Amino acid sequence: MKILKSYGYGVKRAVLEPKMVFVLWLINILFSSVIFFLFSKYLTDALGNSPAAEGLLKKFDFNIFFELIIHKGGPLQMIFYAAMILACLFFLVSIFLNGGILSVLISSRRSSENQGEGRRFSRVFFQGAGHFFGRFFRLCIYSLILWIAVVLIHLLLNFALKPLTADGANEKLMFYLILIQVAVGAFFVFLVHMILDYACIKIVIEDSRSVFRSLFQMTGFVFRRFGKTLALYYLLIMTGAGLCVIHWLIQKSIQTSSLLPILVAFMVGQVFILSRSWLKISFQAAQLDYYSSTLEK
Amino acid sequence: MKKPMFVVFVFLFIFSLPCFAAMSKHIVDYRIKAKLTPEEKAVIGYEILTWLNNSDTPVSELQFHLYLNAFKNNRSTFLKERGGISRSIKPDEQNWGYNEIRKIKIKNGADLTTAVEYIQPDDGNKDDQTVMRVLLPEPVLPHKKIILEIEFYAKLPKVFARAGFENNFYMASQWFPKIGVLQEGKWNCHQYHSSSEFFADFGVYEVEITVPEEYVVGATGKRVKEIDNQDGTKTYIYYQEDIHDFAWTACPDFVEFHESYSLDDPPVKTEIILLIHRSHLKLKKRYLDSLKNGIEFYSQNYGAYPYPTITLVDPPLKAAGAGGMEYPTLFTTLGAWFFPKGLLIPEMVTIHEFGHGYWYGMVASNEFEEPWLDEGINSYSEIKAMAKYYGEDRSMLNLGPLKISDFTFQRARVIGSGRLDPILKKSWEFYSGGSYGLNSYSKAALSLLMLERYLGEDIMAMVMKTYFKRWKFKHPTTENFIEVAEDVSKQDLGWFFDQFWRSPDKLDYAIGRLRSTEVKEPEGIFEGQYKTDPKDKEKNVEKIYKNEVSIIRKGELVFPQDVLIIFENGEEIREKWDGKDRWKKFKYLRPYKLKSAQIDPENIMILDIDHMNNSRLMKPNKILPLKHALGLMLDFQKLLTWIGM
Repeated sequence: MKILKSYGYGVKRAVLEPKMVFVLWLINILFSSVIFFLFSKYLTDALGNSPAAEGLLKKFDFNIFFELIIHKGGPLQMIFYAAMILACLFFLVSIFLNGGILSVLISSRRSSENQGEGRRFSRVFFQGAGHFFGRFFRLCIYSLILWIAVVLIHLLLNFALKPLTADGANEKLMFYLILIQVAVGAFFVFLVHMILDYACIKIVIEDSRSVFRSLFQMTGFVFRRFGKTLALYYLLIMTGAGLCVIHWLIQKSIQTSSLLPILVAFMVGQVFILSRSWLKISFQAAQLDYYSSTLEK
Repeated sequence: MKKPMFVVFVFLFIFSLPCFAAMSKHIVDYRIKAKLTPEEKAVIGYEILTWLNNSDTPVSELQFHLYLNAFKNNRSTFLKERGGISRSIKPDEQNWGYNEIRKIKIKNGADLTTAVEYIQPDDGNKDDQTVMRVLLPEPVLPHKKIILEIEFYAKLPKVFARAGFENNFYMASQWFPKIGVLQEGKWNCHQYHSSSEFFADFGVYEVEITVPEEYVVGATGKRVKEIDNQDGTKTYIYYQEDIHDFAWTACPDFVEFHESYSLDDPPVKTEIILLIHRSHLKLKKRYLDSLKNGIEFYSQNYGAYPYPTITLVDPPLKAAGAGGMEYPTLFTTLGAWFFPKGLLIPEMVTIHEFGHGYWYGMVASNEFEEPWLDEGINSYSEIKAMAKYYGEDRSMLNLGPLKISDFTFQRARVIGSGRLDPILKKSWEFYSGGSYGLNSYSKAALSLLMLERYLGEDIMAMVMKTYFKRWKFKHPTTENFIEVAEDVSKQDLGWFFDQFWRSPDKLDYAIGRLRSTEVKEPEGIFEGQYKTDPKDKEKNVEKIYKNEVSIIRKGELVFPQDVLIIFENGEEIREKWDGKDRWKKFKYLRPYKLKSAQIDPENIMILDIDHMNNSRLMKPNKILPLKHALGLMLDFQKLLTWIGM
């Protein structure tokens, strides 16, 4: 029940923070618009004058795609590198934003419990983001220990399973073992991610500078309440998966061969990105609520 | 009563002779006994070879292929060209392969074992032992035969290129001492190269294969006998005439299926044998259906499949190196336990490898020297067969919205290439294995498709049918193919073949510029009089545009051009240009502007390396870049939401 309560709190809290959802969306679209302008310019130069490309409006045509890559692929490489750089920068920005999100959530939680006064959103958000950026960045670096452990587990698993399929006679088993390895890998990636979420929450709640200790303690916290923390996390993951399916179904039903449907599809896409921003806040709020409830005990 | 019966018998015999006549000239006759020894990963063999000197000159030496010696050490020509043994294979003692001649003698005559020496006719690499020469004490006289007895040991390598073993799977191909081809009194017996396949004379093969009894065996030809040796082994005897090689496979994990296949027009009757690895039984229907499609397509388009059997071998995934290879009346395909239905690789490989039975198997050109005659013609046939049975736009990949045709894949390979070699080249003389594959398979196939669009489908169908009919079992060359193409089409096609087969150069025509400029009325001082543009004063004067379309030849190769010009009001003009100059301009005065121009509107120029520049719009399309740029942006936004999680 506690899990459902925290889940409900997280979802509700995120709904009550439209400004934060908007800020997350805005930063996302600012980064992505660079790709839009680069790619749009590239396509106009490469395809704009060619009637052969009109086929691409109705469906994806590999004939044209291959021609494009082969004859005019140079700028695509540049766009790819730009995307890589933007993704790295966005990673740093999202570390910065995490501090803001948690500061706002904790501040509003304290306001509602009359432990503090209500303050302006932007001040709390950006102050918190700046205040915790250094600590969260250090947390990322310390988390390499956990990532290395994940890689080692994966290698050990691979080593242990290899003899089962060494003769290559049972390809069905080989296939399922690969699937199991992928599933185990994904499980550990989510687990580390969850530990880091709780470590961030602890750092912000306690305004702690002991980043490594927080990581260590929260690893213990997660393993002590393994079932519950995992259940809450996967409930939120399932919510995200549900949003993805809904978006995919809507997007699939729009035939984007003229201007209006293209714009409609774009708007639907932006609603989806907004929902992803909302989900991110839900994650933080729900896990914050769960962690706080364990402290109250 | 007896006499009339005798007359009838003689009469029937004479008229039935054509039915029993061999399809090919039998130069060789192999009788081989082979015993698989799984513990040694080897085959112990005894071969009786009868060879006919079909030339007018006496022959004082014989040359043999010992293909397995390509895997004897890392200095063989094959492994040097390939850059070593596959990285996934640990080169321990058991993983190398070789042929060892334990004894060779003339039947009832001299022992030639000490007369054996290795030669390297192609590259002089003294470490290469894939060609063996045997000096004879007496020459074989013209049109006489010699019978040899050979004891040999064939150690199979860990499979990575056609022949070999993997766990309990064995592919015995290129495994026995095989005599070369005597052409105009000289031996044509090339070393085994990384990028070469094979060439041999037709004849008769009878092979006895002894294996442990739990092994399932498949082989070239028809199984005529099966003997239980009561010692834990079984012997299978196979026999086939009019073939030029013999391969077999054995594995206890094979599941064997038989099905009769017949076709009315042309009449075909054969037995399909499937040897499917037990992990791949889900692929049975896919293999069977595609093989039936292959038999039907090749029989109807080239000639009836004449052999009594066709065997499909599906090796285990770890022995994929043995997959996708053709042998007379037997071929290997590629499969895995998980193979999505929309990924048509098993179908494509099945049709392709079966098709080799025509060009490699029956037409039997020299694959060492003119690889395109097999690989190119077969890839052309494969593209057509795949399009017919699996869809023009999805004959290779058909996974939801992702659709790729075999043709698209082959064209992408060609237009992205470095153009370092022409199609006509000896297989080992190409710049690289990639260049060999690109030219011998893809470019050759596309050049034939282009020829088909140029000549018309009916004429090309006749060319191919005539080529097969005229040259099957006769080892034709490129010149023979050209001769048939010119005979049937009644055209001089030298210009086509010289450009597309003998040159690595590129074909690329493009629309250079589209321009519509308003024609100004005379304005200024003429003969002392000042004139102004009447349009400046009178609004009703109709505007006239000078419309200009320029076509550019960007590549070295020349091809006659059709040009389609469309104006804003819908008017269409067709122009012709011989394509010889570097550029050509077409000009029109019209009261309206140009809308678009397109060269090659019928899409004949398959080998034109850039189809995007073959047409041009006057006004750029703005919606398309918007659609795809927004799409990519949204994908990137989704990626960022994951990164920011």
